[in-house]
Amino acid sequence: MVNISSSSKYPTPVRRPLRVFAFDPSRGRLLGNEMQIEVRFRPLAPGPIDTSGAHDQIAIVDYDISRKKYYHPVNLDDPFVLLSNGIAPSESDPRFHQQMVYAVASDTIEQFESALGRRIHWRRAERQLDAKKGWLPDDILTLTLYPHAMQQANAFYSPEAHGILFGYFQAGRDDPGRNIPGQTVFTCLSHDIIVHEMTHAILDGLRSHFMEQTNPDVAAFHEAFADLAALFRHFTHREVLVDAIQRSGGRLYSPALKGNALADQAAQSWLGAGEQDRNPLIELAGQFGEATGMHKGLRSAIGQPKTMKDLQETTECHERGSILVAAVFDAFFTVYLQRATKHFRIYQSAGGGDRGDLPAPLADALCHEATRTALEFFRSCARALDYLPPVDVTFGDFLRAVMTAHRDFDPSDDEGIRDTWMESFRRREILPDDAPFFSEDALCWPDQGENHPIKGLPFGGPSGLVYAERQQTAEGLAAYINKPASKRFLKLDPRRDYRIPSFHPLYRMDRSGSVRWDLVVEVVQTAPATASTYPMRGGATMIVSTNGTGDGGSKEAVFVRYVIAKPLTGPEGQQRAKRQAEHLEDRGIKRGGNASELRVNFALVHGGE
Amino acid sequence: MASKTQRTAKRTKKPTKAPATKRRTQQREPPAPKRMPARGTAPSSRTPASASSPSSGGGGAGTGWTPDIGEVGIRVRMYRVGFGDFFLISFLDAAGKPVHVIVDCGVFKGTKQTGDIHSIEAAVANMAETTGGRVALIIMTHRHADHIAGFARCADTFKKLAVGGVWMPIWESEYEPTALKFQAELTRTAFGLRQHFSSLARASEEQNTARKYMENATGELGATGTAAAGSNAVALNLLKHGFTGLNPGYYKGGDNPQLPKALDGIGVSAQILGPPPVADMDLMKLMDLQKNVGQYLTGAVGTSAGPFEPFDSVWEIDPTKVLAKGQRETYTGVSFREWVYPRKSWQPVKPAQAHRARTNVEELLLQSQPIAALVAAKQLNSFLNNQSLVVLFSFKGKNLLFVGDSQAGNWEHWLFKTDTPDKMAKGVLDATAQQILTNLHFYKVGHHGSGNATPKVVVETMGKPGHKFAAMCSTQKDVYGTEDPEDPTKGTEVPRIPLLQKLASESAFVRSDQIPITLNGKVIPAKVSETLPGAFPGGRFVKGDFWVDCFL
Repeated sequence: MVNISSSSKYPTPVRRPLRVFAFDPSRGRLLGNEMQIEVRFRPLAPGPIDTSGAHDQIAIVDYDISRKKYYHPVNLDDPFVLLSNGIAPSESDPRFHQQMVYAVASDTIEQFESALGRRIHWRRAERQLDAKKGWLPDDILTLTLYPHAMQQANAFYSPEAHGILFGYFQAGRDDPGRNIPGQTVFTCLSHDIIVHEMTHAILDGLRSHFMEQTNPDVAAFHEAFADLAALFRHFTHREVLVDAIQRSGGRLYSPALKGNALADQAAQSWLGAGEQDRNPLIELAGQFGEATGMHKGLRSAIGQPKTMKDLQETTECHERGSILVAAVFDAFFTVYLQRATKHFRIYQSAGGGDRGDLPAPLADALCHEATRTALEFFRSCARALDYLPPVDVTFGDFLRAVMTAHRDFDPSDDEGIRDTWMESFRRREILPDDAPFFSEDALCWPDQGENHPIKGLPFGGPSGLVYAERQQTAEGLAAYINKPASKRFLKLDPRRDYRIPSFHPLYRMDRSGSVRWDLVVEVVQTAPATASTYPMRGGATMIVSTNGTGDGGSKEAVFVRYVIAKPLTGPEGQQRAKRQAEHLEDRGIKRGGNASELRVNFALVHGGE
Repeated sequence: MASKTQRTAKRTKKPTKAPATKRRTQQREPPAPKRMPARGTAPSSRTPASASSPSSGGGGAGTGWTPDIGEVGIRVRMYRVGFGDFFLISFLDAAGKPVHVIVDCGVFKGTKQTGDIHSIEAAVANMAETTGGRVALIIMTHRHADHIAGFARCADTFKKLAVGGVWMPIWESEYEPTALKFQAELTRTAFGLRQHFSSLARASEEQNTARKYMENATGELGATGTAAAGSNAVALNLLKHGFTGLNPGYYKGGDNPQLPKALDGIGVSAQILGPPPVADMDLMKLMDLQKNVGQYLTGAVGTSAGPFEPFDSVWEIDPTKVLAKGQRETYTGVSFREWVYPRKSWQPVKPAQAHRARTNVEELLLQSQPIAALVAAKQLNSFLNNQSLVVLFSFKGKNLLFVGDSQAGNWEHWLFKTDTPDKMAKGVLDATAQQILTNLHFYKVGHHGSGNATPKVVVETMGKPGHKFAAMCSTQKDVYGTEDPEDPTKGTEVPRIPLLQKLASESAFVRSDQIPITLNGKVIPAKVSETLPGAFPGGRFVKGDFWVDCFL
């Protein structure tokens, strides 16, 4: 016998194709509602359960609390399932539900990882600096997803349950929208809802204090970010996108799509028969919203133009969040239209008619622009997460983070994308409270240059830091932060202990193609409550950077580039304390509690929607 | 009414003693032949303060009192019943004889089981005695136990009353199909939720809270435990059908109510301000200005029918069952690795560990459930509150507002003349509403002083400078948890301290649980130590045996 290859084993595949609904079952099979997601290949047990042994994975366990039953787990490695790229979409087969939850959740993780340039992890328990090593019960190692957790019109991320609970329920009998009266609606079959809840879990892992509602923006930010992630995903659904572009004459933001050329009339009659034609791209969770009696999608991205008054007076977190979503989408559509205009000009100069039904090649080109722009915007948003303060985030902080992250990534900004961001935020009066001017320079976090060197940090490799490197990094950071001068620089309260909830090396390619290494470090301090005050957190996000790793001659190559601080003390600290007290007072929170009690309860936030 | 009171009065001691048109000023008439109003109340319990006051106690239907200077002859008696509302309003006619109106008669033990102090029976007896068995009008603001339980518990007494009229919110109308259907569904849901919570093996605090909410909506269960047997059903039945020849009036905001002759004849007028029309479901669903834990009842109603099968039963499996060799498709130990302690993820999971972990996670998930069910329960609760009939009485230039337990949606409809709910309550105050609020002399504090039931703008408008009004709040401290509206385990803070403080600074304010009462020789102490304001411009408070009178 001749061995023609070095091994008789088949190579491990890289991807596993799986079929899912692009939106939710209510759209049937029309319009490319079925799509295929290629998720990273992982060895799977029935569930599916990731058996690769790595941390921070997901598992699907189909346990129904309302009925105390388990449903048959899908075996995605069954040859028949493999042959057909996963089970075909079906509402009546729970195994398809498990497959869809697994596929969309895995895909969401991958989107974030590729945007952030590193592996994500789930929530970790709060540890002091000198904590013992080893896992704690509150660390989430495997995020467990329960596709049919309960008979309720609700789906929520629960850190206590280490997972996401998706509910199912019967559509309203009187006003079911496009569902059959009394039909069972599964929240786990809504692409949007899965992405939305996964984003909550991912964000909670990245920034564990962003669920503590210390100002009205915090919970709203969580909601807005989760909506943004879900919405931008829509622009990768090519078939739907082409259709939407053709029908909206290239303007994707039209909430009601035209049935035909009679644009105004269609918009007028939208409330009546034209309801079918709502733009699926900018509506979240259509079926869920309809079944519970709301006729628009869960939260429509493009609402009324919001003003300062609204932002001041809107405290409900979804509504407040929708102001941020609208601002980001405004910027997105502006950039998209800029890019689309070029194609229109070429088309028109070549004798193309006025806007109406677009020819396929033009629609195709526009589709490409929309996808590209959406991906860029999602990545800008995701990257900005690393540039946010560790606690007490505001919408203004987010704008500053986006601006800074974008400038680091694309310093020249030929297309004026940062101007677009600023403009759309300014229009909604989302203003940072600490930036001196509303200009690009003033909005970006101040660049500290190379004035604050930090020693003893290993760079690690692109797949992260190995154990010894992590220890070395932690020691290096502590040695740096312990210096009184560093504490002043980081605006830390020298009398209080600090914790380092996380540090992450980032390996990113910038626009010019060169590799960039940064280290993001969260430093957090907690001032416990007294009988008459609220507990308060402060701290800083340090972004440690370098100008090049190859030059061995450079003596102080690593330095703290940005400090994004929320101090406990000084005028800033006092102002924050005042604002926080007002907010908590408003919400009727008792003084003297524990800081972790300020966490938002998503079961209530999403309940009954 | 005054003309036909005497004969049915149980007591005939003083019917002719009415001071008629005589208006004494500072010197109040000492009611010489004083009698204790209710059995079981020791005469010695009478305080010196009330001894010098007019006959705030018994007296037949014809027994009035002499209004002080500035008063026009209105008495609002707030009984201390615990957590609930029981008000008796009496208007003096030209001859000095009172005409009586009952607003609600209920009590509920609340989430902490402490709300019912069992004084309602004595209070009803006192009412019967005070009115001499003649009541011109009974108003039921809404169908919660804390507003109607007394009608069921003391049905025998109520049945004997000569009643001139009954007013209920439009939601009770049997000629309003939407309302009828909705009430039925609501009740069914309430029972469903209540059963759901009762069937749980270990009731957490949240589960108990939710169950109590539902008990308020259904009333105490009879022996059979069915909807028809709930005490609320008994009360509703009494009010709707218990008074021979009397058909209740079912009203909504803006309706012109049919005033019983006895009231009309002496110059009492009444305006109905709420609830919003049945069609305004959006407003009705707006229960809460700030917390806003979801406003959509439909989903909650959908969960009520009990578990249904989402899939064919072939898809159900038992993970504990050992499968035949080669058969892979079940949850293996690795599925529950997250819950295996100590957490050593590199070690294989043993069957015993997996079993323990699985049991743990099932329990944990069960624990996470009632939160959402509690949301549904709260929604139902608020929905019923929003059905409250809101009545404004006017008599000789004095205006009295009774708002039941109205929450945001009910208020906003008449405050802002709107059909669109607004969580921020930032509408412009309607001119009529402004007029009403700035000319108010008496306010029955909504929803037992709960923070969700008296919008800020209302307190601010009522409390215009130089205007002192009277406010009465029937409540009981420590019945509904006191903290954090975001946290379901703690419920709403009732009564809401900042609201009461604000009211107390703007008005002559009294709460029912500030007066100690003696019942069957047992003293029920005050829950808070506050001093009764006594006289204020245009009126005064006088403490009774187990009530407070507000004379206007």
